[in-house]
Amino acid sequence: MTASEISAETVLEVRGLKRNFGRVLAVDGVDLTVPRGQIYGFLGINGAGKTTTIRMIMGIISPDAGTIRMVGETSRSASVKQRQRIGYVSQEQNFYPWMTCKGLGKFVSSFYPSWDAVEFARILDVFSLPPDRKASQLSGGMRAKLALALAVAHKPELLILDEPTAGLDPLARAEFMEIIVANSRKSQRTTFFSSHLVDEVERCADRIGIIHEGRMKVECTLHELRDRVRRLTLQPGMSFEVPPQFELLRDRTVDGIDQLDLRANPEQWDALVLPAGVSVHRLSLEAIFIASVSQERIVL
Amino acid sequence: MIRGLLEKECRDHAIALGVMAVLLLVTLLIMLMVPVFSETGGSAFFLLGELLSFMGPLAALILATGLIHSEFRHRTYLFLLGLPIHRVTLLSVKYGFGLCAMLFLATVLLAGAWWGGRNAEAMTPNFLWLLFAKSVGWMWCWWSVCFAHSFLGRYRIVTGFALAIGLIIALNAGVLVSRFGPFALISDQFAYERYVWPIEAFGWTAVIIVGFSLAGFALGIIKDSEVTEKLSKRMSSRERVVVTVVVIGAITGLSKFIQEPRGVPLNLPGAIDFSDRAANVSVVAAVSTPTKGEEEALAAHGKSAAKLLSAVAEYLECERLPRINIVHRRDFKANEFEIASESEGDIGFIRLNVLAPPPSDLILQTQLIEHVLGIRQRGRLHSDARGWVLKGFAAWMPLRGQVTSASDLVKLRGQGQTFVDESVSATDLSAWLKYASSREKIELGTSAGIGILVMGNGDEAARRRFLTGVLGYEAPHDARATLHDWLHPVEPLLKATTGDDFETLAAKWSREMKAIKVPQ
Repeated sequence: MTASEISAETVLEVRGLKRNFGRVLAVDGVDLTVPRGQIYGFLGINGAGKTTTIRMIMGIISPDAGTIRMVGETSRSASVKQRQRIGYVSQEQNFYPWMTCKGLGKFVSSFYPSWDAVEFARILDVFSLPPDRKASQLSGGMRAKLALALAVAHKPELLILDEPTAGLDPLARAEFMEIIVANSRKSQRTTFFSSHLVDEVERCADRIGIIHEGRMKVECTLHELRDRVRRLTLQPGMSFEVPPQFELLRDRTVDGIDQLDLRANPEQWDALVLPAGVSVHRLSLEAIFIASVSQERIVL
Repeated sequence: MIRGLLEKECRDHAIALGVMAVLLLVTLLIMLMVPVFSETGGSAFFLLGELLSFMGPLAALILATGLIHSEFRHRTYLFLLGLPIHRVTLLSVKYGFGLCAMLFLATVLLAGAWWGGRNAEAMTPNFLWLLFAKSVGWMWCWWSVCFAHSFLGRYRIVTGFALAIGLIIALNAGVLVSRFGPFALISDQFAYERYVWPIEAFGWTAVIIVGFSLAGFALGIIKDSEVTEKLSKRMSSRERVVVTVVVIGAITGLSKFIQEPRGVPLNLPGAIDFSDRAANVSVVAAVSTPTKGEEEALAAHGKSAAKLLSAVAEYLECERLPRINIVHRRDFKANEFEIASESEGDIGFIRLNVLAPPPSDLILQTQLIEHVLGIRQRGRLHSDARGWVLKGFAAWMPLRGQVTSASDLVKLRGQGQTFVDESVSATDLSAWLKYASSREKIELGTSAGIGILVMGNGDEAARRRFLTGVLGYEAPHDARATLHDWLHPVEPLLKATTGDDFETLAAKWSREMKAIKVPQ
């Protein structure tokens, strides 16, 4: 996808987003692009800046710098009209405990002109959520499903989920992500979700962004990522000088064998001539993620 | 959107609103009982003013806590912020909801008062508008204060407390709070002023309303509510300790200033001053024209008391002793005298008939010492822990230098066989009042005097250090006195100064009592 194609089909485009909390620079110039119809996995360890970025996109907190272009409008902070075209599921579901599922739907509906009550009732049914059960009586998984139902019942162009499966058990997590993927694919909805779970992102996302210490480390499709980041293993006693076009992400020694995780364009990888005793390996997303977020020299 | 929020607020705060409705109903019932008004100021609106004065702050506090603080405390504001609504709109709805509830309360109360008094009072439009405006100003003012205050989260109780203390200080410093701003609106004149609009009071009320409302919105909006969010979290244990220490320190420090204002110093006409260094003694005859004999006897009492108290002050290293007034009363019989102190508790009186004095000078002197030192420590010496020290010192001091044994003391104090088989335990020294109530037959002063006599094996310097430590302290009018007593318990002081603990002293004391040999 070319830059112009991305721009035309982009639902969310963030440029140079920054945010400080006192002396802590939580987000430091994040750029990201979410093409229409895709599922975007926003991957990062705890404290990487995922939630702060999403809160800035949602207009819950203001950025110190940067612009956000979302559903066709560019602004520093999302307007009410923009937000009415977005569905949002936060990390914690802080519902009013006395409200029932149905009551929450009624309350939330007053904020969205395009709210579809029939669709909401249908989703509750699909998710097996009892309409008259109070929020305080729902399990963690049910609360996450209810949050999703509330976020999609007005048929948003963009669905933003901030670690929606945090705190759920593996079964509930898998089920919830299946629902998101199926729902997004079926309705051709653009979905942006954050997670610190690599397998979750690998299973669901079309496009991946990795954030670490407030900075974007990688942003591309999973296929492109695997093409770009590869590992060189050096036999004991061998040495290898990293070519200038290659970025060394991680360097570690395991059982006397040096492992260099490098990033470069696929063409550069194809043109690389390896000496005897040096071999190249494709990496899993988990290995790429770890290589992207840890650069220190490790000897095991 | 706004309707949805309002419905949510109604449901979310149903209990608070229900409590307010019940209060309102009860209040209305009271107001509609017209006879009540005639007994409470003769106006239908007198009770309205009284009710508004306490219902305003109460309702505002309940509403603000529910609408603002609870939302942050339970983190439900995060759910609201995830919805497409501007933060200012959200706060405006809450502010408007609370204000409407407050004004509804004021309007219903006013309507109730009007209904109750419609046949008894002239209800001119100006009067009713004046009442309405005053009620609205008062309620709105409290709402804006509580609205801003509720954003302070875990510090709101501390700051509320500080405000209350500030108000008390202002009142005690003579500031006429009731004539200022919102307080002037519902002052005593609330029900009776029919024509004059208190423009200045309205002006100050408006300033307070605008100031606190803006402060509330600022706290809720600046830094994306980050400040309020942080404040809404529970205090850490370290923070709790710091806040407690600061509060106690503030109370202790400020309590100096929140004493009742001192009245005009007591001035007894015709009183003659016999002050001698630290002793403050006056004598006065409570008769229109005292005889020469009365004057001379009074002067002798004055000189004697001043000399004794001066010695006491010197012994206990006191810079100043409370004033004692010796008052001559002809209506008192021989052996009859009365001890009292003025309402502030700083000045003592001994009333007696100087021409028909008490049984002995010694009894009078003992009572004088006990009374003066009791006043100096605000009655704290008449306690389980220190009672025996005061009693014993008062009995021993006038005879200091004359007695070397319990037998001497008993003999000079005119006590006889009553101490046979008597004893004191260490427990009695910590529970003196209980001991005293169970020893009706013995003269407690003499008993305690024996204790003073034998402590530290008669080492005068050690005894003096102990007595000065317990009796020489001048207690202030506040919590510092309690803190002092708590930090300076008697037994460790006794041990440190005389080497005796309660057990040792009680054993010596009991032994000495058993050894008393006084001919009947």
